[in-house]
Formats: sequence, C-alpha cells, structure tokens
Amino acid sequence: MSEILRLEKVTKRFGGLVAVSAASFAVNQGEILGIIGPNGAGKTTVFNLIVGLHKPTDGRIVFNGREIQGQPPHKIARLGITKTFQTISLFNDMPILDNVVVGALLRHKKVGDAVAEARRTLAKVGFDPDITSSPGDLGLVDRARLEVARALATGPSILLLDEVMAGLTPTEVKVAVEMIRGLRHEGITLMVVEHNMRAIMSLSDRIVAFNHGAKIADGSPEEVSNHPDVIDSYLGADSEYVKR
Amino acid sequence: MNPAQNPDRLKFVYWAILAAVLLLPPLIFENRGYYLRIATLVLMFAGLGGAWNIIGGFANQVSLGHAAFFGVGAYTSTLLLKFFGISPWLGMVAAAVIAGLLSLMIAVPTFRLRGHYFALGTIAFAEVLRVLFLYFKGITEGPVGLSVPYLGDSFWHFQFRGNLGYYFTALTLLSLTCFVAYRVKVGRLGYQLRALSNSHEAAEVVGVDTYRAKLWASLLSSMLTGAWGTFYAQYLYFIDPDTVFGFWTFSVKMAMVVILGGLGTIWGPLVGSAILIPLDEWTSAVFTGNLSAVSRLIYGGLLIALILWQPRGLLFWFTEMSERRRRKRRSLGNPETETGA
Amino acid sequence: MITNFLQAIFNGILTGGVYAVVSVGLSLVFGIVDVVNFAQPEFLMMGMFVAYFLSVATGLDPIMASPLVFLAVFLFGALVQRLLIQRVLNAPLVAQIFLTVAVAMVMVSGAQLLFGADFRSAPTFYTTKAVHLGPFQFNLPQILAFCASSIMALLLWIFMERTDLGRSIKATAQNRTAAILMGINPYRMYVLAFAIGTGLAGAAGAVILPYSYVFPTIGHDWGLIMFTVVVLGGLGSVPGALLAGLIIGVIQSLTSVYFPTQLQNLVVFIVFIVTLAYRPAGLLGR
Repeated sequence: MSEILRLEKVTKRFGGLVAVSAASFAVNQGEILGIIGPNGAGKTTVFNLIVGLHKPTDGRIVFNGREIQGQPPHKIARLGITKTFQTISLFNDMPILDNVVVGALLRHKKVGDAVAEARRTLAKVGFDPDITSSPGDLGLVDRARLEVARALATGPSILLLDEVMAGLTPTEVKVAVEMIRGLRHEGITLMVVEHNMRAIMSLSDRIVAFNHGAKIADGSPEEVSNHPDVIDSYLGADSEYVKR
Repeated sequence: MNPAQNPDRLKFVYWAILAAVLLLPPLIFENRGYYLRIATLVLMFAGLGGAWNIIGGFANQVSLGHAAFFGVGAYTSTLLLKFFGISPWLGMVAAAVIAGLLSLMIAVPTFRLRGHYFALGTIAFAEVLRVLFLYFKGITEGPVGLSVPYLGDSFWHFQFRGNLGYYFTALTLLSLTCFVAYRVKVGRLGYQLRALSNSHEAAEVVGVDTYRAKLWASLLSSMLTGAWGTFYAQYLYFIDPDTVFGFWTFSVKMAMVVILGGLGTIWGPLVGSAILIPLDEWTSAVFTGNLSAVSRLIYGGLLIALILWQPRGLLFWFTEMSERRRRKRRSLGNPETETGA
Repeated sequence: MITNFLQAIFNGILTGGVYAVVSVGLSLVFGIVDVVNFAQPEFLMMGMFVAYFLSVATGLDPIMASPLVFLAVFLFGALVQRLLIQRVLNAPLVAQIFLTVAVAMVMVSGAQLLFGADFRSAPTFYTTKAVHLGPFQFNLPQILAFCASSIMALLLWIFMERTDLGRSIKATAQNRTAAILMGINPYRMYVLAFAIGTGLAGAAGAVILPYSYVFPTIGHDWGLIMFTVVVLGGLGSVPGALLAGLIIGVIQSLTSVYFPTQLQNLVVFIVFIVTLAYRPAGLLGR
C-alpha cells in the first residue's frame, strides 16, 4: 500500500487556543483510516486543515507528493480531497438533486452530464426519497446520505467523513458501514471520524486517536483500543474494546 | 384537456401571451404619447432589474450600489459621443466594458464581505463615483448635468422620433438581458451561485471557486447595467450625477423591482417593473408639488407590506400557490399520496 | 501653520464626539439584533425635528430637550422594531436590508409631507458664540454638543456595564440560547437595543440642532459618516464606534482644511472602503 496523504507536524492555533498540535500521521491509498477522540480533540479541525478551510499555523500536508496546506478548498477538491460536514451544510434552498449536481460539476463541464452523474451517485448511496424536494424535508439518515452523495459526486481520491453516523440507529449504522465499505471498493481512500466505536472498529484498517489537539495513538484497531492514553481519555477501562 | 399533461402546449401559450403583451403597447399607444413612454421605462427597469438579479437574486449578494455601473455606462457613451463623436451604439459597448472593469475593481475589496457589509461597500462605491463626477466639472459638467448632443433622428445616432424606436431597442436589450440571465440560471454558474449563496464553505469544499463565480456574476450584471445606462442617456437626452449615481433613483429602484417580482427568477423583474413603474408615474402625476413625497411614501409602505408578507416576491407566491394546487389535484386524482410536503 | 493643524484636530474631536454618539446606536443594533438599520440616519433627522418643534413651541433649548427627544425617538424605534423588524429576523438577508431601507423611505417622505422641504434652524443664544483659548477658537454649540454627547456615551456605558438590563442585552448578543435559559426574553432585548440605538441617534440630532439646519433629507448627509464610523469601529462594538467617531471627525476636519470642500467626504469614503477591504471587523470589532 502506498502513502497518499501525509501530515507533518501540523499545528493550528486560533488566537491563544491550540486546536491541533504537531499532528503527524499518514494515510495509505485505499485504506480506511478511523479517527477517534473526545469532543474538542481537534478531529474536525484536522479535517478542515486538510480540505483547506483553515491554513495551518505550522507544518505541512502532503498529498501524492505535493504540498497542499494553505490551498483554497476548491483547489483541493479539484486535486481530489473533499469532506462532509459535521453540522450538515446542505444547500437547503436547492432541490436534493441540485445539491449533488453542484458536486458533479467539478468533473463534468456540461450541466446535463453533471445531472446524470448526480443521479448515478444518489443511486449509489442508496438514496430513496423524492430528489426534487427540499433537503429540509429529509430525515437524519437521508441527510447524511445526501451529504455523502454530494461529496462523492466530486470524484474524490480521499473522502473525509465527519461523524456521518451521528444520531443513527444501530440498523442504520450497519447500513452506513456497508455503504462506506462499498466506497472503499471503488478505490476511494477514506478518513472517518466517528464516536460509534463498533462502527470504527469494524471499518478501520488503521486508527489514529486524538486528545487535546495532539495525536496520542496510531496503529491497528486492536493496538489503539488498548493504548493506555486512549483508554484514559476516551474509551474508559470498562469499554468492550479493551482487552483485559 | 389538462394542461399539465401537455407541457409543450402550455409553454407555447405562455410565450404567445408574453409576446402579445410585449408587442401590444407599440400597437395601441401613440408614438409620442405618455403611455408608450411608460411602457418603455417599464422595459428599462425590467432590464435593470434583470441585470441586478444576476448577482442580487442568483448569488444573494445584495448590491445597493448598482447605480455605479449605470452612471458609468451613461457617462461613458455620452462623453465618447460629446468629445469624439463616437456612435452611441459603440458607446454602449464601451459602456458595458467600462462598467465591467469597474466591477472587477470593486470586487477586490468587497468580495470577502458578506451580507450587510457587502451592501454597505456597494453603497460606498456608488457614492464615491457620484462625488467624483460632481467634482470634475470640467469633464462632466458636474451637478448641472450633461445633455446628450442632438444629432438628428436616426438609427445610427441612436436617436428616434417619439418612443417607438426606443421601445423596440429596450425590448431587444431586455431580451438580451433575459437571455443572459437564463443562461446563467440554468448553466454551471447558476448552480454554483445558488450553492454559494446557501453555504459558502460547503460550496468551496465540493469544488466551487466561489470568488470566480461571484466575479463572473458581477461582471455580467455590471456590463448589462452599464449598457442600460447608455440607453437611459440616449432616451432621456440628459444625465447628471445625482440622478444616474443616485441611491434612491436607481440603486434601490432596480433592486425593488426584483424583490417585488421575484428574486432569482427570470420574469420577476418584468412583473415587478410592470407594477412598480406605472404606479410610480401615476403617483407622481397625481401627487404633484408639495405632495410629491406621497409617491415615495406609498412606495415605501408597499415595500414594507410586501417584505412582511412575501419576502421572496410575487412570482414565488404565485408558483407556490400553483404548486400547492397542482399537488392537491394530483393527490386527489391519484390513489397514491404525495410524499413530503 | 501648526495652529491651523491643531485647530482642525480640535474641531475634529468636537464633531467626532457627536459622530460617535450618532453611530453608536447603529453599532449596538447590529451587535445585538444582527440587523443593519439603514434607516438610522432618519432617526437622527426625526430627533432634530422633534427638538426643533419643542424649541419653537416651548422655547426649550434643544440640548436641554435631548432627554425628551431621546424618549420620543426611543418609543418610535421600539414600535418599528416590535412591529416590523421583529418579523424579518429570520427572513432572507434581502428582506432585512430592504425593510430598513423602506422604513427610511417612509420616514423621509413622511417628514417631507409633514414639514415640507424647507431648511429650518433653531438658533439659540449660544449659536454664534465662541470660546477663545489662546490661538484657538471653539464654537460654543459644538462644545456643548460634545459635552452632551460625552454624557450620553457615559450613560450608555453605565447602562450596558453596570445595570442588569444592560448586561442582559449583552448576554443576549453573546449567547442567545444561554440568555434564554437564564430567563431573558431575547425579543424584549432586541426591542430595547433597537429603541436605545435609535433613541441615541435622535438625541444626538437634538444636540446638533443649535448649529445645524434641519430638513427631511439631512439623513443622507449623515448616512455615510455613520456607516463609516461603525465599520471602522467594528460593527457591534460600542467602544469601537466611540473611538472611530473621534477618528473620523478628525480625518474629516483635516481634509476640509487641506482639500476642496466637495472632496471632504471622499476621504471618508476611502477610509470606509479601505476598512471594509482590509479590516472588515474594524478596529475593535467582534
């Protein structure tokens, strides 16, 4: 497996607050990297730094051999990295289909082609409701699906999923996990932030754990879930994922 | 026959009605008369509204300073005519180009601004131009204003006897404006503008170059506005900074027409203009002298009422009504019920 | 040479103090209600007319009348907020902007209908008086206006920082949900903030009456200054507006000495645009 993305000592300061502190880790082509940690640990900030919504205070982000830190998000999307939003940022004043068309327009010049691609993508994620209605009418699961569809339509090499399973029932989580695995089959590299440990453990090839903006563990799911710092800060000694 | 079952026929009917409505005034009104003049002004404000709509309606960048482009357009062609004898038609092209360049200049400081800040920035620019054009009397004659030199009625001179020639010119320019607006709306740019007006961040993350999209919208909007400025100068034969760069006279009015008719729609500006301009003229005619402020008062009152009742404009209200009726009809006639609202 | 320069600076501070108070209301409203009141200049105009008619009817000095004027404009502002602005708080941006623009329209034309377009003035016994300090001359009405403005600014500060009501308003701006949980009614806070903001503009109108003409469209002349001040100071920052008011006053004063009068406002515009371009949050903005 070859490395596709690497963060080197990436730091982000907001005024006096250090959101991310010297984070260094790599992601391999085609793998699913899980990212875990308590709230406020800097996970979303790391995503934002990668896609270009923030500029790192320090450090480098290297994608396929070239440095991308500080580039605007639309350029990074063009290069092949995009994300979904934790607080869902759908285009509520546009029909559902149009939301995905916007993403598809990145790789398809003609609107007609983009619309066709958008339809295909929505089918791929198993989207069922009426695509001419407004996103505001959707339930949580479908909204998450739409977010993923929109990001997927941009034809990314790396897709960052930020807590897409938040609020889902166990059945829905299973469906989501299947969908994410399906994405990997297409050759997309995935970085997944989730609090749902079952999902993360079953999905991830590797896991990176964060706390207070710093990476505290990096390795296979078994290694990370038994790491003392991870247990202390996040899992808790009673967690079923901790081997006794 | 249910018209919904035959959309092509319905479309044809709509276009036929539109054509009839637009071609009616020159047929029934006197060439030099008052009514044809109002009709021409309706077309002009529909065009101005349509141009404003491209960035104010499609991209939700509320500009309160579009008079900047309008005034620059009006002065460009008039000064070119006055000093170099250049035909106003060429002047119109130059006007559009200069207005476009101006919008690019303005874009740099204002595009990072959102919402209210952007509106304030645009007001400032229009005011700067107004002050500058008032000040440099040597070129622009200042507050006294500039008369468009009378060269004789001819197409080449862009001067017509009566209103007829102007009406058809306006109709052509309006068609161009609507065409541009339509192409923007259904094309890539339209999708990008709608996306960024919903969420700048999300649009960027899925690959929309928001700066470029707004720049294009601003460019198209300002160029069209500049061209209309030339039209205005040639129609009214007289321009002065306080009017053509005026906040109330043009900036607010061209936006109001769209707000009334329907933000982000193609026909909204025409609908809004068809209501507002005759109303404006009528109140000005009825309430003269000391009571001239009444027309403004009515305007303002109407705008308030409209915003409280239907902030998106009449066409939205109309389409919502017909959507609801259509859904009702569908669910009544269909054993399967509609999902969603 | 240097006397002219310093005189211009002092004059600028005097007028700047008034600019500050006129604009602080605008900043307050944006900071708390999140709406830019494009009709703020018209509330100034309204205050001037109220003071004018009080003066004509009762002989009451405009500056002494400013508390009454504040009250009158305060009540009107409260009505506008409660009946109109409240209804568009969640509406699209265009609606919010154009609502206050329409209110401005209505106020100007209303004034034109009621009072005609004539320029009026309410000269007082001190309108033409001046104070001489060394080589410098200060016009008494301007000094008094500055003093009155300073008192108003102080009262505002005391209100916002030291009273429960003022702190409730600030709390609502900082964290609406938390404020609601604390039992604060945000809508009432909005009405209060808007009413205070417009009331201040009205009161400022009263104190400038001794040296200004009043006419229905006077708002237009003041609009630019107001908006520049609040943007420079930072929309939403009360101390910012106060500081920026002084700065703009000085800039304008210096410009009028060294540049032709018609361009006097051009520099202010440029400051406006530059601030928007490079530091939209203003000097002390949130």
